Amino acid sequence: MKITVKAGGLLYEYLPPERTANRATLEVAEAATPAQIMRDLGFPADASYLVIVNGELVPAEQRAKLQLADGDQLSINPPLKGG
Amino acid sequence: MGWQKQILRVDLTNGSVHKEPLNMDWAQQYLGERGLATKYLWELMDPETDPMSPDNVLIFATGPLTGTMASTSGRYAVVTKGPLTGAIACSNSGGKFGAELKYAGYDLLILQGKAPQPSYLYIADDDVQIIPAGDLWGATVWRTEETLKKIHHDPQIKVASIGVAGEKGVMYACVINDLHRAAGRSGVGTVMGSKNLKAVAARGTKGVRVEDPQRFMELVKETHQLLKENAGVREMTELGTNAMIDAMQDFGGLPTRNFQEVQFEGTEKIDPAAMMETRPNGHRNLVTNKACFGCTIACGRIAHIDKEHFTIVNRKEYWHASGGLEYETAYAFGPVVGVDDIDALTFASFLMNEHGMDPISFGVTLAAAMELYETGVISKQDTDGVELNFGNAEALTVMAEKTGKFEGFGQVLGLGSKRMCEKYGHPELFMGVKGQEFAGYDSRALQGMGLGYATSNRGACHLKHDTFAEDMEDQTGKGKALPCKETQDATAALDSTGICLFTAGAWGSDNLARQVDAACEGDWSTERFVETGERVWTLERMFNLKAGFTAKDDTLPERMLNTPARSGTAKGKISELDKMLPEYYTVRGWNQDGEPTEQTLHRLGL
Amino acid sequence: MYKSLVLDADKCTSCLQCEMACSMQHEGMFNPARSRIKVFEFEHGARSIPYTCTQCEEAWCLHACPTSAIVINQCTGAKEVINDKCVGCKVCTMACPYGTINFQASSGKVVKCDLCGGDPQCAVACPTGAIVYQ
Ligand code: SF4
Ligand code: SF4
Repeated sequence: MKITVKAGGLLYEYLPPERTANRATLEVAEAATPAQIMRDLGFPADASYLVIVNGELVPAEQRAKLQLADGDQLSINPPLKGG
Repeated sequence: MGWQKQILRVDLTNGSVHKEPLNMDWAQQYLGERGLATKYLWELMDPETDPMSPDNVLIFATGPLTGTMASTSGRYAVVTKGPLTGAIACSNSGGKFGAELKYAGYDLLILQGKAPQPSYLYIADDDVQIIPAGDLWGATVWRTEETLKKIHHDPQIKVASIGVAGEKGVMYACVINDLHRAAGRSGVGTVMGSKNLKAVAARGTKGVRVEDPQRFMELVKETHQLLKENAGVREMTELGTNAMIDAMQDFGGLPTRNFQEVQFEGTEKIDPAAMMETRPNGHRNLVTNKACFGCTIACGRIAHIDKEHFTIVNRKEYWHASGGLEYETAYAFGPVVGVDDIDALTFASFLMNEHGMDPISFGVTLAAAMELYETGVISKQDTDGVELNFGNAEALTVMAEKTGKFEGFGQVLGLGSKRMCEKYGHPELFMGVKGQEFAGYDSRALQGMGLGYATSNRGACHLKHDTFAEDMEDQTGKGKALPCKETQDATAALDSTGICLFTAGAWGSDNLARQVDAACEGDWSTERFVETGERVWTLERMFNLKAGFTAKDDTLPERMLNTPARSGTAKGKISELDKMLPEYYTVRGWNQDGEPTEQTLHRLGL
Repeated sequence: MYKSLVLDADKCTSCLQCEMACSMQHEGMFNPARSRIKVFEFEHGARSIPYTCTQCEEAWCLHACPTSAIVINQCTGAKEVINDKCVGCKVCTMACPYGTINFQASSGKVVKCDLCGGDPQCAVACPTGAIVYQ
């Protein structure tokens, strides 16, 4: 199945080279979880990312459980901070 | 050491200048910068004083680490009673002025009274003079800096000044130093203007010594490395604070069109990628990044505007680079007013610096005016013929300039959102707390932020606590009170050192305490350091209580409390302030009227 | 070949860590006013340029000094001021075409970059690679 991934801030560096700006469409295994995808892309293991799937927040403990479906939009951002 | 152990007291009314030893008992209790200035303010003025009267006291304060090699050591704070809020105001700034003031030999500069004529203060080490401002009164911040360097034949002079906005009483005027760094919030520049003080020009050659240079330098090495290795810091260096805007958009916490919405469709036109993109005509918004004094992060952006853009096409004087967009300016000239024209946003930024105004307060006030306009409460007749619709880039820049020059409808915008909305009979459209406008985070999506806004001692502010981690994990009021309190205390301690808050992602209170300990006499354990922060926070609260604030003022606008967020991860949610606030008072050791108990005061030695 | 300080203005953010490091090394305190390296800012801060003694081969300062107070350090190639010999006549400051040897009122002597004996502290402190000793 295919999903789209958006990576905020400098995290685009972990997207495959075919990315356009900070987005990429990925072919992933059926029912893959955000945690799996992040691991496969080489994101450092870090619970502090902000992970959103189809506009819904995915808290850290859900990231290895939530199964994605074809066409889902996964957005991974660095932790929010003040500015 | 760390401290210069000397303060400068200037009575502008009678022109007297006194150098006094720093009260070291107070320094040991309140450290420096924000904390120490709060203590002096508390001792020197009645909190009920009218902020615009000569009896208000205006303090420029450096910290014990200001001017040292500790990274980001350029900070100074301006502390006074704020006219925008009527509460204690504490705005800090980077750039190079703070370190220069300290090198001249002073931890604090205390300004009292009101000069009989417009003046500026010149400080070159021991030589301190109050000098008539002449035709500098009425000049922009930029011209003031340039002129003072010329008059005194010294390009190394560092200047903190106000623009016309501060002179004429725009309620959220800032003190700007080094062209584009601002002690921005609560109208500290307005107070400076009310004292007839145009500028402080400082030149210092005395240097700063630390208690244990060898240990200090080892810590410098270690803490610089911590910053260097931190992913968040690297992002700030490469993308600036505006890196946040895309995440905030995804999250649905980006206040849009006066907080009617929480996501903005034009975000990608004003984000860091847009700043860094080279256009077909070869123009690129971002020129380079720039550090404040001593800073190894360098989050600052220097940008320029496309010469073909309508704002400056006929105005060559703006064809140069200057301070560019940061997250808060991008928010305040972008989503909250619905504008997505990056050149217009950058021009508005320039204007804020040039005329000395707080972009957040200006943007959010303009947003309320736009809502008033769109709902028909005000019309073109009120707005000097300008169509004040959301999204109108020209309206943004025209009104920014009118407000900076205090002309026409700019005088109304200069009141700030609260007073303006009251004037037009719609107080509910004011988006802020205690008279101060919100920063770029929505209280419905970020619950802990809402609590921080409601309880911040200077009115709505995003820089006095840090519950981002909690807010990302859970969008209810649960578990926010304690981290809010703890980070308020830690931040108050950090703000009392002379260091920038943007180190906080990589340094904990322990890193700061150790640097303070090596720089200063006295044993500064982490516990003592954080307790100092709590003492500072509580004293600020005491100031506000005495100034007439009560628990009723620790609240949020109806829109946050009753109107659910329309989209984003917090769709359908409202702020749960009613659940968080009682818990917050409890963890603070305050009663449910928001007053510190005897026991708490006693514990903190207050 | 001696190593030298390579300065790259494009990388400089104007943080002045170099000036502080220099003054700590030579004066025992943080005091940019007494730094041997200076950073100049132009164009509203859009350009920042670090600047110090190039240890030039001609060594005008050295030849101009009437008391032979300026000597070449054989290990580093730095032109160094021998404090005891300097009488503060300032002739060297006029001879230097770059303006990087300066009179210091507080000591009555001249000061200049001495490459910190081979471990220049400005280069150690610079966070951006704008100063490299190579
Ligand atoms: S992080 Fe940014 S604001 Fe803070 S000191 Fe550095 S450049 Fe200035
Ligand atoms: S330390 Fe490096 S980046 Fe900082 S001012 Fe000096 S040369 Fe520039």
